[in-house]
Amino acid sequence: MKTKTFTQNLALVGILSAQAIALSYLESLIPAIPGFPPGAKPGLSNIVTMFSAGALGIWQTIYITFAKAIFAGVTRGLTAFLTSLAGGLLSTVVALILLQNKNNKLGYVGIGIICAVCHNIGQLCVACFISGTPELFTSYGPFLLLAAGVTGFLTGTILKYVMPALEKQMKFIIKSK
Amino acid sequence: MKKIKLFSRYDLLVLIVISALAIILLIPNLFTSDTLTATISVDGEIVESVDLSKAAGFREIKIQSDPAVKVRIENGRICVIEAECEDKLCVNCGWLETDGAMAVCLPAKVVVSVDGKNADTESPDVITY
Repeated sequence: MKTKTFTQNLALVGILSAQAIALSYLESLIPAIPGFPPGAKPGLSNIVTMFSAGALGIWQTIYITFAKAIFAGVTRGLTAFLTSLAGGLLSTVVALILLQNKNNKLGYVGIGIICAVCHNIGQLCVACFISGTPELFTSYGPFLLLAAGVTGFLTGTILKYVMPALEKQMKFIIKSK
Repeated sequence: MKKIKLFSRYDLLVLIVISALAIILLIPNLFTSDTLTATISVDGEIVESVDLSKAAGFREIKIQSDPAVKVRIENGRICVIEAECEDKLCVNCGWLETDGAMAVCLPAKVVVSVDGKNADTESPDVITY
């Protein structure tokens, strides 16, 4: 029976990865939002990784993060791969810690914001490292922090309302007795 | 999976902490000094340093990088006007005219930054014997 659950997990992770990639492509079509720092995006694919972190497990979520990063790398180059991977991994690890924790007192909004902030911190670290300018943290960081507050609020709220659909999808593929 | 509320009071705390942190980090950016120096660097090496307060008229500099980036300097401000990269994030940063303002083109590894260099910041903080 072990191989069967493995196949089911593989199928589910594949579908979730595709959804995350589709969402990150979708948000690249959104033009720059006035008042937001250039390059700031809603981070809609975080919805999928947060769901995976809560409902599935560590490896499934990290797999989705890698799939997202590779997609960014293929379509936007090596720097995009590195920033996506660093941001994705940091926010994934934090999401796993928060969502797998039984004593978690935060709501979806709080988790969404913390994940968005971690995502931005990871990306900013890579950007600082590549460009060799640690000053980016003070010049660009505060704006990214504010943007993460808004986008995290958004993704957390969306996650709450798409949760039933995502759980239905999961139960459709992984038929537990 | 455990039931999670949409918004708990701890979320409010998170929101407040994040906003406060952003505002605290923003404060140093608000102080602009009289003399502004624009520094353009490629791959961590400074290629051009311009005193913005003394820049009269306008001029354009083409930076030797891959992909190529073009900046324009006029009346105490600097702007990336052209970049041959795909995302154009540096161009979207617009005019840089305050201390600490920055435009970065990651694909070209070009950093354009503006620093307010006062006499105080140039001198050492402490001298001990």
